[in-house]
Amino acid sequence: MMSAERAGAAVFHDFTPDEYTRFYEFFYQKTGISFNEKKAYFVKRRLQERMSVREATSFRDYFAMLRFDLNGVELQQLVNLLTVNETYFLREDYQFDALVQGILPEIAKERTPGRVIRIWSMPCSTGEEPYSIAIHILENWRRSDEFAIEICGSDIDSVVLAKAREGRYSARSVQRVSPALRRKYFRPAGEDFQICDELRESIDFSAINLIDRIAMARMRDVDVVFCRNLLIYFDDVSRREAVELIYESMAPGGFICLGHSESMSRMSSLFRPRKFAGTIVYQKPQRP
Amino acid sequence: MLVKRSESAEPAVPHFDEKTSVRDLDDADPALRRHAAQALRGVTAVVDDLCRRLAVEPERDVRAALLSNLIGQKSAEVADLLASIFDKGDAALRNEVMEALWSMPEESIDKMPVLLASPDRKQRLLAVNVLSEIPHPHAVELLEQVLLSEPDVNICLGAVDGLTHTDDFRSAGRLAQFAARFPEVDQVQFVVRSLLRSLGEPR
Ligand SMILES: C[S@@+](CC[C@H](N)C(=O)[O-])C[C@H]1O[C@@H](n2cnc3c(N)ncnc32)[C@H](O)[C@@H]1O
Repeated sequence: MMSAERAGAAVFHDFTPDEYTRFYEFFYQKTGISFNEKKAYFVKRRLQERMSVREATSFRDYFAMLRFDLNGVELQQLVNLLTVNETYFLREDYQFDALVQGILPEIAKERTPGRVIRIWSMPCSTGEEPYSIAIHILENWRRSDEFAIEICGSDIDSVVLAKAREGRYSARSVQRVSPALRRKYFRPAGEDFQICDELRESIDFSAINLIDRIAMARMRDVDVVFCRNLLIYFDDVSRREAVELIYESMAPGGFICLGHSESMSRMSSLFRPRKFAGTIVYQKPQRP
Repeated sequence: MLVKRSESAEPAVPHFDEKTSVRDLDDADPALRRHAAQALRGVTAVVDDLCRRLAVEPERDVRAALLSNLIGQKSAEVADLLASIFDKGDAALRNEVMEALWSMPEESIDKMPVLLASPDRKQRLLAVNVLSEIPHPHAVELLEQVLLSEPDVNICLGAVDGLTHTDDFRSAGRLAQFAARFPEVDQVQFVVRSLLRSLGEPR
């Protein structure tokens, strides 16, 4: 009997093991994202899709296109196809409670009013996370007016960032936002919801690859990092490297929030676990 | 109050020079040492410099950068170098070396019989500790070998402990042989008796 992959081979380019390995290694080096054997079929299908779109007739042609594509657009397309960038408003919002009930009050204790508190959503995908953080702070932290709160969002993918800057969301994306908050922070746009200008204009979005040391140097003195639902795609080595670069970007005493299935214990011993509002976050020591 | 972050300047692309970075590994400023460890990622020629520095580095975050670099470059040579600095520092260093060896099982496993045969007790202890948690199918076999031939009873007990952590521990026979090697040591008799009981093999 023919396996599914063999059956597909009549229509699709069947990658040689060597081609697949070359692609895998290149992609891993560039993004930190790693696939196990079970994913090979899925990856090959997506590669095939991109080859068709780019009208590449051989793997060799496509791979050359990918490697010498200076602005990295093709790589971003692949990241897009190979990872899930789905996100939504108020996802895992217990961490936003930890932010306003524990983290921000602790940071504010040490800081004179008027000073900057910097929060970074990395990766932010289409922007729901940084906007949610903004809304949650404005609604629930009574000292929010005393500080200059900078919220930044970054992602490797410039297509999702353009959507984030535009700030237009489907009903599904805002499902968890209460009607009152929808009225306050969005205006209707056809079937969709448009985030209000005040929020849209106050968040800084930038394209940064989490494992690119040079690009990561753009972010410094960050007080709170949200790094959720990306490290699950990384293997142990790139996770370690990523966490170290995040560490560099953080202010002493800063905090990092990971996704619910991600734990720092296997990645780094540089941080101290802290518990706020029933959830564990990690703190960079004041002194190493 | 929300404020937009002012445009950050493009970071200058740091000039990378291997020699300077290797020298910076020993600089007085920990930040420079950490950057050097990061800048030298993937440079195979410098793994011995990285290990040498790791053995004496007092700052945790610099050590983390050195380790990430070494783990990222996993090779038999790196495993060798790590094993050679195992007992050069404090408990933190020992733990880090073990962690690093666990994360490169294929590269580490061949080194283990060599360590187990070493006249240096600390090296044999390292091997037992590494084998206790390394995700590799040969680990059980090597730990069982320790029960039969290791002269130091405490290292043997370490191996028993390691074996109980592995999923496919079925070596009741090996345990009995181990107990027979140390008939005078009460702790051995007690540990083996209780383990055999929990394995359903009264002795
Ligand atoms: C599932 S989204 C996470 C969004 C949000 N943090 C959340 O938890 O809902 C994952 C995002 O990671 C981005 N990504 C993948 N590799 C990346 C890398 N190396 N650096 C930065 N972002 C990356 C993808 O483009 C995608 O938008």
